[in-house]
Amino acid sequence: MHVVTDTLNEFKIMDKRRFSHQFVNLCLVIATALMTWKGFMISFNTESPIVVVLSGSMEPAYYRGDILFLEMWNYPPLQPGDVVVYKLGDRDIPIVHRIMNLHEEDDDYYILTKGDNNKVNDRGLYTPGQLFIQKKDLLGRTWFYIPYVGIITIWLADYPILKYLLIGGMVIIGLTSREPQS
Amino acid sequence: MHSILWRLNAPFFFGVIVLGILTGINVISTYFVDYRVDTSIQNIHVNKFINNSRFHWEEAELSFDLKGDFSEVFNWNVNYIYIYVELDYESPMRNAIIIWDKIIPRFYYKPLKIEYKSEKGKYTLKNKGYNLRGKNVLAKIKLEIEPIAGFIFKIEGSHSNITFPTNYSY
Repeated sequence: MHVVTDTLNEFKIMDKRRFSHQFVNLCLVIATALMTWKGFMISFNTESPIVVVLSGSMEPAYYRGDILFLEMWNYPPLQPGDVVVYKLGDRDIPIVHRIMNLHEEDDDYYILTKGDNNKVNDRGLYTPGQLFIQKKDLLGRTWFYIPYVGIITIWLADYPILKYLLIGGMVIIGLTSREPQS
Repeated sequence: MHSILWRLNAPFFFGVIVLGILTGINVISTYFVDYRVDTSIQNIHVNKFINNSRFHWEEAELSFDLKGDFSEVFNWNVNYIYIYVELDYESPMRNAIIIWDKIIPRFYYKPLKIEYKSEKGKYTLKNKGYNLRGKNVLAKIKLEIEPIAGFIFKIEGSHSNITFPTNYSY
């Protein structure tokens, strides 16, 4: 097991020039990830183009840890049966549920949602007295689905130590690893 | 160069790439499938039509005959289908309400054909406001196909008309 000593050694022999080179490379990776995310935001017209399902209220459709891609172009227009993601006022956890009732009025929507796995509609989840959610609450409509992959982010959120380990490890590897030479 | 991390890294990412490519093939291979369903909805009756003065909206209970054959829909990338009956009307803008739905998962081979006689709506129709009296309403059978991985498709089955009564039941 020479991993630790090798890594330490890499740091020891690292001169200024090489360190700055690796640092710029690391920044480039981070910037690429950020650009991709922003690009998704623009192309799908929503502030969160990819969400991870956090609850089991849409089973057997979407389980905890599945990834959903959202769009908000509203074409074709929203209709009942669409699975939408909405966020209510001050709560920061987005909810993934299906539209049951939709009323269009003056360029706005009045939407009632329900989870496939729930017996009753979502009026109990809304702010007291609120009967419908509106366009401003919506984050987007699902159009693409990938199972399981998002469970990693749930682990990262549940165990913060894992997050620091991963980020720290990535930074160290990013700084020390050399380009693989043939 | 050939430290243990590199050695673990290589097979892991090879595995991820293989899984990704297989998923991609799965998605592409079902993208162009022409899903067809054979459905019919008939004999729609309004059993109860009342004015809910507490919430200021109208409520209605409906029943209908429903038939459908969904054997053609299932393929290797279908996780389950969500069948629902939607009522569409204009007042004057678009209104649409689901009154009945059913989920048929894969591995649940038996009732790919469904048939219901005077089936009651699963959900009470709750309007927003008062505009259903004497209204002509379109009842549609629709279908959402949830994939194992990939695009979510929507299909429209058959539809039929119903005119709501001009007076409340009581």
